[in-house]
Amino acid sequence: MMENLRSQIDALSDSDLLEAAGYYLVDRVGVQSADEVEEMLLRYCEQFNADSTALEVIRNDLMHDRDSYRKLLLLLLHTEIHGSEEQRQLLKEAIESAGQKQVVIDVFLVMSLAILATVQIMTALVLTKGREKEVKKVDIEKKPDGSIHMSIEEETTYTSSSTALGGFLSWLKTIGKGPNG
Amino acid sequence: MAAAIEALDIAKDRHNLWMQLVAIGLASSVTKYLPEHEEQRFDMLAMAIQLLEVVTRMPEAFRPPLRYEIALRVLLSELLEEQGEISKAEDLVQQALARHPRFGSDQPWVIWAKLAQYAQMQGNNELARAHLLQARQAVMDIVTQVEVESDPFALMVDKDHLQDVMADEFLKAYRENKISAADLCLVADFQASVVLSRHLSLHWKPEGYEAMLANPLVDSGEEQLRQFVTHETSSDEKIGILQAFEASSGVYLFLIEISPSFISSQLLPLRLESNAINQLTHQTSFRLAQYRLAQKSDPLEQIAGWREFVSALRSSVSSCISPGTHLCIVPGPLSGLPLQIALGQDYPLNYAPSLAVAHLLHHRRLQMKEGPRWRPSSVHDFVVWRVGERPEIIEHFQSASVALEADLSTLGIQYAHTSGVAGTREALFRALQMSECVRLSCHGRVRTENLRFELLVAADNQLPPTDASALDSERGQQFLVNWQAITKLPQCAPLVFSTACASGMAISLRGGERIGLERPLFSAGTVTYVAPLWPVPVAQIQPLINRIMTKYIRNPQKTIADVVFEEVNAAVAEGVPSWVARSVTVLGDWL
Repeated sequence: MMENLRSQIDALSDSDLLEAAGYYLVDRVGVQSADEVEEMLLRYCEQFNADSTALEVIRNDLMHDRDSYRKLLLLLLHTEIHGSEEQRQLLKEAIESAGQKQVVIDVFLVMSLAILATVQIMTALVLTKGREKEVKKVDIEKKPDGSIHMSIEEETTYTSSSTALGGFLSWLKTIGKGPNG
Repeated sequence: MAAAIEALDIAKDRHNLWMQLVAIGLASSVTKYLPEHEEQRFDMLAMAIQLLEVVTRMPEAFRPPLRYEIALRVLLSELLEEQGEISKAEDLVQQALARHPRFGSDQPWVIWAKLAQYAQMQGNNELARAHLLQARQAVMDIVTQVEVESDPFALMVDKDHLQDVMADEFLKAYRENKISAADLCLVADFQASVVLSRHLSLHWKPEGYEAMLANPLVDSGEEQLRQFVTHETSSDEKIGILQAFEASSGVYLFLIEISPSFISSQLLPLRLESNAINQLTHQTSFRLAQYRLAQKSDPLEQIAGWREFVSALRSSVSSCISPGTHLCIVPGPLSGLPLQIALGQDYPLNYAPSLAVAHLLHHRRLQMKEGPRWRPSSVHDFVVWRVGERPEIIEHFQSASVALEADLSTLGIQYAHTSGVAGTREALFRALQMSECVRLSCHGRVRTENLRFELLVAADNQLPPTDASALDSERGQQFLVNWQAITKLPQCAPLVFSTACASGMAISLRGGERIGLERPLFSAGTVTYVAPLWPVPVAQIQPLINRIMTKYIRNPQKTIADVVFEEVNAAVAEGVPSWVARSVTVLGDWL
């Protein structure tokens, strides 16, 4: 299914890619209205002390640069292929739903959703530093002489490159290295 | 303060009396926000009043424009109010009225609204209501001077306060049994689509309607409502009206049941604040537009508050209007909510921008040859897709056209067809003007950020582009037909159907004005427009609209609202998802 999804995504026309990404990202980002998209973007800017005007410029540039927005959307959708079975099902439905309605896609909205999805992935990375699971095993032993011996064993599981987050992390690692890495 | 000092300097120029007045007003207004300069402010106020008295004695030719005088009087009266000098403030405003009994200015409603406020402060509510009605009439007069294709939002934005005050004041009077239901209906209608209502009333001039607008608090109000049912052949025929309006205490539903022999009405609070309704509107429209076809669940079930809203709406409506009765909805503050999803299963319904528009379109429809039994003798099928459209979608368009032509030929209806690159702006305008019925199958788009609505057509032997940024380019403009251009058509097909997903979408504005396709079509002469109100799949909407068209033409005894009701419910029973089938809505007249 994963390979099939990958080839379906690559084969989408610009319009269908925008539409499919819109359907998918609405659920992925978890928004209920267009106003909420804008509110979330502003909230992120505040949280990260980021310049919201600069973000406006980036969004505008993206909207008018077909190559860039196509690459970003392909990246986001490809990343999701590595997600859970449920995510893959949502992605499949989004792809199959594209092109069935007679609509002009709101590129502004889709770009906003794409930026939000990217920020969410980045935030998760910053917070977890790529760690998926941390286990602390505490062993307390009472010695015959009455003393207490305590040992702590820590186990960290890092995000696998086969998960959505891992896929994105792998991609981030390639930044700046060029194709020959 | 710098502005105040500068204004005072100007005021010292004794050679220009009018400039002195304006400058004093300005300085006074600026110092309003600087309490430490209260003394100067009072001085300036006193000086301005003296100067104003001089102005009133000046010969007509030397007087400043009336609107400036009104603005200054209102400003000064507000400053007097702050000092508790209500009767002096009222005198100041009254003087304007005494000097100009017939205002030629563009802002007389402000004076009436002020006088209503003073009457209310003195406990004379009846006088307050009379003044508010004068203010309403003055707004209507202003609207008369405005082209219908101009921006209604900008026009109405400063009248919001008047609409709010009127709703509160008349709601109170209605509850105290001082005015009738029909009176309150008309006041509530003032919140709904004033610009379009006024334009249509002037354009078509039905007898009696002008009189009703001029003085709504007369007995003829009920008579006008009764006219909605006079066309019916059966004496027990009824119709229901659901009119939503907003007061400071929340949103209310005005439910009226009318038959030739009786009118009953009930006013029910919706128990939802405006903010909650706005949020629900944004969330439902977003959800419906973004819904994936493969999803099987109800697209709106996850929206907080939607179920409660549906339940409250259904129980309110069913308590006053029996299921199966035709329901005319004037959504007002509920505009943009998919009310047909809540009510469409039980009521044949139509939407009207205002009661005035419903009345005017109905009047126009009844005047057509054979009245309610009129059916179009010709249909123009206008189909345009975009560059790179999927072959199976083009196939859906083409097969729907073939099927429609075949159905119409059995009914003896003349069929004309324009499709693909032939579907230009000129061809669209020709189709709309020359046919009795048009079926539109072309993309439309709504842009809330700049209040635009456009249809996509072919140009220069090319289909419109898919890419939104290409459409926004200078070259892309040739593929777009904006709503203002359609408004200017000298005539338009009385009946228009659309299968285009976004063609029924609209931007709902304060004051009940909606930017979409229905507004220009009604302005140009269309009486009924049937369209999906949110994006739905081409494969399902094309055959459904064809079924509705054919059944309506075949059955002259049925209304379009009945046919849509029957066919939509049949489609849902056959397995078409409810959110798809119930997107189809009758806008305008229901016959």
